[in-house]
Order: sequence, then structure tokens, then C-alpha cells
Amino acid sequence: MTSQAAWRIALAVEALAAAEAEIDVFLAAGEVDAHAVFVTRLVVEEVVRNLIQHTPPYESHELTDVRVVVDREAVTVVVEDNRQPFAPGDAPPLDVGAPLEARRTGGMGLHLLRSLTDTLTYEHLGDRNRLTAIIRRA
Amino acid sequence: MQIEDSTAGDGITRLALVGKLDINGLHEVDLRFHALTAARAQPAIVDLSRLEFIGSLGMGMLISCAQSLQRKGKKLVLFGAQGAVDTALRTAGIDQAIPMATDAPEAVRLLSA
Repeated sequence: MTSQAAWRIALAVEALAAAEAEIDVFLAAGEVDAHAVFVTRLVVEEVVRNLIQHTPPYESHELTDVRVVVDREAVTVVVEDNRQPFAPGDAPPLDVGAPLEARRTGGMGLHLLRSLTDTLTYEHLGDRNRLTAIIRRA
Repeated sequence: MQIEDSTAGDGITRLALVGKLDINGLHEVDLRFHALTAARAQPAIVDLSRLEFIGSLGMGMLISCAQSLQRKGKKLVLFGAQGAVDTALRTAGIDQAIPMATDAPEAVRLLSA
């Protein structure tokens, strides 16, 4: 049995918060395990929040599309937007062993997504960015 | 998202983060958390047992406050993280930068370790 839902989210904090609450409800209805719920939320939070932070206020009317598909094996999250192309594979790795005084916060979100999803792919199609994450269910 | 402050006057700040520390939650608690930790400038332990979600922004808040305390010669210790929150913190290497304990007594011991 496969179920899916989609959200069109304005690039604003309030819109992201509202969508996240609805995604939680959708995952609960699918009886998705706690780890997959957490990582699904993490993908949406990190990707859309990054878009919000890198979008000037005068363009906050722009929309991003989030689709969540739940099947027996996995949760698939697809995020599409029209912002500048961004290749997650080009970002430098995070030094997770750095001592406190040397820790930087940049790159932590991408590191979490790479580490906690089972598959993370990025495509640039025409003027669209598409990031697809697959999280296996317990 | 809430911060519970149960500091009792023994020189240790005792806080609990309750709820979801996402972008919305961060906006609700960021200033107060800094005020209760970095600005107070005394050792602090933070209970994460009722934290349901944390993203990189929330982890950045913890690192920023721990760094501020470190510059004043004080320590911040986390304790009680559960399930996926604990996994995410360790995946990001937060445990390499900020001590993480299982419970409050161990957290207090780590403050003086």
C-alpha cells in the first residue's frame, strides 16, 4: 500500500512550520516509525529552511514543492525549487571530531542528511532543483 | 518549544528543552536560552529527555552557547537525549564537542571532569 501527499510551501518560516505539522500528521496516519518520521522531518526542515535563509525577503513569495511518499519499505521525500542550482556533493565534509572551540555550524545540516538518509540524490532539471531522499522504515 | 529552568542556587544552571527545536522552535527559545546559559556565565546542564526534534540550527544554538561558556572557563553538559535525537546529535559529532551524559547526576559529575 502506497500513500502520498504534496505541499506547496512559500519560502517563509510560518509556511514551513505549518507544512511540517501537516507532514507529521500524514506520517502518523501511515504508522511510520519514529526514526523515519524524525529523518523525514529533518530533510524537509534542512532543505526548505536553507532555501528560506538564502532567499531575499522580496522573493519570499516563491514556492517550493514537497512530496512525501510512504510505502511498506520506505519514506521518499522529494523537494523541488527554482532557486540557484546547488550540488550537495560539492560541499566540503564536516569535521565531526573537531573540538568545541573549532566547531563550525555550517555544513552540519547537509552532513546529517547524507548520514541519516539511505539515499540522497540531487538533480538540476531545466530551471528546477530536485532533491530526493529515501529513508528506510524500521 | 519551551525552556524549563529549575536552577536552584547551587551555582549550576539547570535547564530542560521541551518540544521540537526546528526553525520555529528556535525562534521561540534562542534568545532566552542564550540569556540563561552564556549570559549567566555559570556551569550549565541541559536535559534533552523531552526534546522531540533537533535540526542543525538547534545544534548550532547548543554549540554557540557552549563556546561562549568555554570562553568564560565554564562548561555546558547535555543529558538524557533519546532515540533519534540522540542519534542525530552523535551523528553530527556534538558529543565530541559538548559532553553528553545519560542523566542529571552524571551531567553534574562531567561539569567538574
